Amino acid sequence: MFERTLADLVRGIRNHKKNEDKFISQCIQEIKEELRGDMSKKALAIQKLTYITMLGYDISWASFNIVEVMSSAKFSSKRIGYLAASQSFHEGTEVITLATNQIRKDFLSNNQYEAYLALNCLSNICTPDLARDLANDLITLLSTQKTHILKRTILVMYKVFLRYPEALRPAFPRLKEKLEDPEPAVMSCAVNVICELARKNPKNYLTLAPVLFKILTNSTTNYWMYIKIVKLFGALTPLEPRLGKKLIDPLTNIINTSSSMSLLFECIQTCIIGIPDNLPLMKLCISKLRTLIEHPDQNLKYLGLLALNNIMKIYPKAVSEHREVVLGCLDDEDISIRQRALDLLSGMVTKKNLPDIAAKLLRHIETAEGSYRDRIVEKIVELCALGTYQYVTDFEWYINTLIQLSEVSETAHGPLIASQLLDVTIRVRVVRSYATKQMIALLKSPKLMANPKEGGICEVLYAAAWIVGEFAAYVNNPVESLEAFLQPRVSVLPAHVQSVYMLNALKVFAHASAEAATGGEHAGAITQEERDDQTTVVECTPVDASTVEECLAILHARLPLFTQSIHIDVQERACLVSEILKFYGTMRDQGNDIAGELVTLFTEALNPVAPKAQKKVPVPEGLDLDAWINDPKLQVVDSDTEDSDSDIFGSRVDAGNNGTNDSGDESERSFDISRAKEERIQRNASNPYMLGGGKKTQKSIVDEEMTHIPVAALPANLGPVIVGGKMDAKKKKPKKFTIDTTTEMPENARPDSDDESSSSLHSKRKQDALSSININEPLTASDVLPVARHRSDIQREKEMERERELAAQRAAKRGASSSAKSPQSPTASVYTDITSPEVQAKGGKKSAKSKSAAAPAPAPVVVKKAPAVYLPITLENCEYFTLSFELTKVDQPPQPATSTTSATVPIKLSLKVQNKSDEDLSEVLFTLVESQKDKITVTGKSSAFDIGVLEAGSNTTISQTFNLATNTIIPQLTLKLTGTSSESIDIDIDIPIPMSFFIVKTKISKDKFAEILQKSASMASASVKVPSITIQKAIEILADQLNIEVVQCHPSGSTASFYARTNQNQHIAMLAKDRDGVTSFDIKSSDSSLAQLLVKQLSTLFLKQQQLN
Amino acid sequence: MIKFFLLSNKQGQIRLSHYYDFIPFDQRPAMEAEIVRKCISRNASQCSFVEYKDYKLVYRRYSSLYFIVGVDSSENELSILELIHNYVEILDASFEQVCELDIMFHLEKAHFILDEMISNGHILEISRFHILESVNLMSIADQKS
Repeated sequence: MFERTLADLVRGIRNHKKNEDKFISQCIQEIKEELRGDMSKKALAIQKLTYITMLGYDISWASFNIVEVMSSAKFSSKRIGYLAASQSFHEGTEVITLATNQIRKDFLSNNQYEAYLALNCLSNICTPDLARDLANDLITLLSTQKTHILKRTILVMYKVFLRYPEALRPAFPRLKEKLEDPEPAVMSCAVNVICELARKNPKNYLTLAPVLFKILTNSTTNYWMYIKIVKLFGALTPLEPRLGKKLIDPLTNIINTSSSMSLLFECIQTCIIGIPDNLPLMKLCISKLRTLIEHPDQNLKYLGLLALNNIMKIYPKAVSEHREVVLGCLDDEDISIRQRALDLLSGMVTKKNLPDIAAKLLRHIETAEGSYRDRIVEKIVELCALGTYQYVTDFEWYINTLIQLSEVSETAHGPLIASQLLDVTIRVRVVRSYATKQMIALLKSPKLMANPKEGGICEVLYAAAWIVGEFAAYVNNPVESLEAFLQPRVSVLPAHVQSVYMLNALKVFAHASAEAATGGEHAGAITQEERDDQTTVVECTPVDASTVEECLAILHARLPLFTQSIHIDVQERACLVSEILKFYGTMRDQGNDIAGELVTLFTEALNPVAPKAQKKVPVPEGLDLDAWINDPKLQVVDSDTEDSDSDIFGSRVDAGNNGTNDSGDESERSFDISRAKEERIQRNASNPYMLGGGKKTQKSIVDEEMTHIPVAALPANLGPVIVGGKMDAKKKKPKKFTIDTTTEMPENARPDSDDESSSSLHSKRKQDALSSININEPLTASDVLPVARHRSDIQREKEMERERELAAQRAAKRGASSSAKSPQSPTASVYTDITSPEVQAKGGKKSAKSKSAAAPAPAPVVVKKAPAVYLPITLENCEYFTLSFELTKVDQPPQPATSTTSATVPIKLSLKVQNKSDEDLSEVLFTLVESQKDKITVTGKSSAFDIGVLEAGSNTTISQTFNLATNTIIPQLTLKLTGTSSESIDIDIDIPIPMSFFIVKTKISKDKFAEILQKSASMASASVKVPSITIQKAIEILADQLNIEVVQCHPSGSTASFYARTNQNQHIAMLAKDRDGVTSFDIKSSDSSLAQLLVKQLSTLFLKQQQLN
Repeated sequence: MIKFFLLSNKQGQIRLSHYYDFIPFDQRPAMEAEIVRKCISRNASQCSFVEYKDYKLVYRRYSSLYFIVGVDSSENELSILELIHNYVEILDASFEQVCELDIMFHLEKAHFILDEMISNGHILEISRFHILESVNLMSIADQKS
């Protein structure tokens, strides 16, 4: 059968340009055939599939075949399989688990090319399962000598950490070593991984700073690694300010001398992040950046602007001296560069150049497209609004600019422009007259209504309508504006805009009628003073009764269109307006002109509401917000019986008819609270009295100076400024204006300003599993990686487990009789390191009495939750027994504090004895040695506990409670094990008793501590030195394992004092100092033997810690 | 971290792609097309960095081929440019005057070189000598079996 090779496939695809899809599906059919063939055919097929994946075809159906090819013995096939796997497998690929063992086998293979393939592939396809199953092997592989494999393993580890964060702690010590690897490539990989890790949780890696610093100052030519290290320092310095100082010199050096632009750039970035308070360095950075920005290479220009932007975030004004250069970049033909320059503008504006910059940006809008255009619009608004219009000197200009912006087609910033218009007009009183005039023009213009979409540019009309209505006193021709309000095409606008139109039409009418009735003396009229303050004085044509009639006619003619609106909100407002007008009409017919009363409806000024003001409204006394308003039972019935549609309808009708349908039945009123809230929000959105939106009420410092600038009074005969025409700069006089930055707060607002923004920021910080791991804690028993084992091993272990359970049950039965009186609380179990080399014992044969010593207990770890662990006692030269023991302290029943009777400490010893020989043993017996009998007593009858006959291969567990005399510290329990087989056996066993059994956890204040030290000048002292261990760690270990508590720790972390008390009320005081890589412990104790004993314990304890690390 | 490596010709056809973060296959063609279009539409006088979604694209053009690398915000853009150049030089050395067809017909070799340089989104090896050495050894091992 004819088979296409990969080359044939590629050629075929090129030859079938027109019907590529058809050709490929034909090929896939062939491939499916080939996958049924032998291995070489399969490999060929998979090779082709790999190419096809690249073209965007899903080949997940072939995943199993890929695994097959991966396990091929032939290297070239295997390679194809691995490539296909790394290209197409992902977390959802189920067959990956089938490949676990294949991958393990391959990366441990002697053939380093197979190991390459496996590791490369693993880095691409690592799933949490794979990571968990392979982590242990990979950590082992970290100690390989083969550089090529080592490099890959290090990088794969990063992926493993990501997928299986538990692996980080056990693997980290090895990883740390690699930082000092002589091979630069290995070092570079380790730096890479640690750099990535440090981005997640920099605190963990501070201890590596010295090593990294050494790498930085040793010159290599590997710029990529340099870059990573510099980046890593960037992450570390914010946490450790001293590091920043150390870095100044090397970084300055690199910045000044390096020929590599990438390295230079990275150093500058790190300086900005890490050491921003060093001014000379910052100046150097800024000057270097300037050369980058002026560089003809566009790439450098781009990056220069990027970095300058970062500086600007810290020193907003530092970059202003490069204004010209940055403004020059605005004209660059490259959009990426223009965007970056745009970002920088907020640091560049001044009062003087704001109009120029804005004009420049406006020119750019004409040619810009897509999102860039929107960004420019946003930027112009942002620049002008900066610091509550700090840089705007001419608000008429700003209103014009905003209007110009609203003409930008298809901008997404309608709401933004609208909110700016509202904000400016409300805050800056003097511009109101001008704004109102312009807004009427805007309302009449058909442009904005061309594309009536919610959130689009027609939102500007919302603002325009509101301004015209609210400042209706400045409206010079009410008829004209009412016509604009009620033109038929308004009915295509979004509902909330239409509602605003309705109410504001009423406002305009109210003002006009009041004006006609009172001749400018009504409540809503503006004073002459206010009028004079306006930047633009609009000539108001006097309003007379005929104008009012004209207005009424328009309203009557046009309103019906809106009272029939399909939008309920609009309908409601329109009905309201027409009802009020009807009332006005009837009253006037009766001879009462209520125009003055009508306008008082709208005279109260509406000010911006402070953000969070709503929240700060105090809850009135006696109001329980959580209490039911209606009986909850009714609501249940309601939601069960009525479907939601009719419910909404019912409630909406209520609103629409303005309460006429008030007598609806009970259930109709009790609609869902949440729905009511939603509705309220909706209503508020369309309510001109509610100024929602954070942008409108930007809080900032009041520019007080500005309000106090002495300004010459405007001459009365200045006359109206020509609107829309060219403004003559020379004629322009500085105008007096105030920016009202106050915002309304409810009365008796609660003062507590919960800093919500910062707290939410806090919670936003990524909290993934990897970043929450602390690698500085010492490794504990729980940091064990799963090891793949043969199932027979697992079975055997299960059997052991079962036996132990049985034994424990047996022991419990026995213990019940012997120590029924002392209740056994859950006790802490104790174990020592199994492989500890010191664990040794000499066994005796033929009654040759020999001493055996169990592990001299390198201070046992107290594991609170872990199940009891039996520790082996190695018996040398003993072919009969395997022994393991567990020693726990039996908690004593609470005794009266004054009691001195507690002369003993009860401990429970469980011994597991196995006869490993093939002879049966009889008379197996443990006895307490004579020398210890005065210190230790055995609960129960005798000092011996016997097992009797122990058959070949069998095992048993016995347990016994001992009482240790408390008048002295007993370092070990010595037992004699005797037995008889063909010969008699006699072995001495030493079981170490952890010191913590004798130490009572005591916390005392430092004053008390000093007192004790002073009083007992005659204390015995001893000291011990151990290789460096951080004090923090020492505190943890001592508290954990010896019950010794820290009293005081020097903030620098170099010294700490400890205190403990033995059960004989002997004091132990200890001072730990960390100096020059050696930690010394000075111990003072009332008992010299105690001090010596502690010295021994400490040295073994810390030695063991170090081995663990 | 490097997120993906793309190689496209002037017509926008993808000649090599490697993702270091998984992206579903059905999304890839559209995404690749958009990325390539963004890069191709730029001229020589524009800078080599384009922002695309959360990625920063660093690209470089060699005759008719565009080498496009997508990185996250933490990566140094200039160093990625240097990396691309390094890759091209190695391709050139191992294929002797590399051209588009070489890469198409020896895709696995191009992938292998890439794997030698980048692993798991990080730069693994930069020495031309070392990479070429292992590439050669690998082809020998390939032929032997």
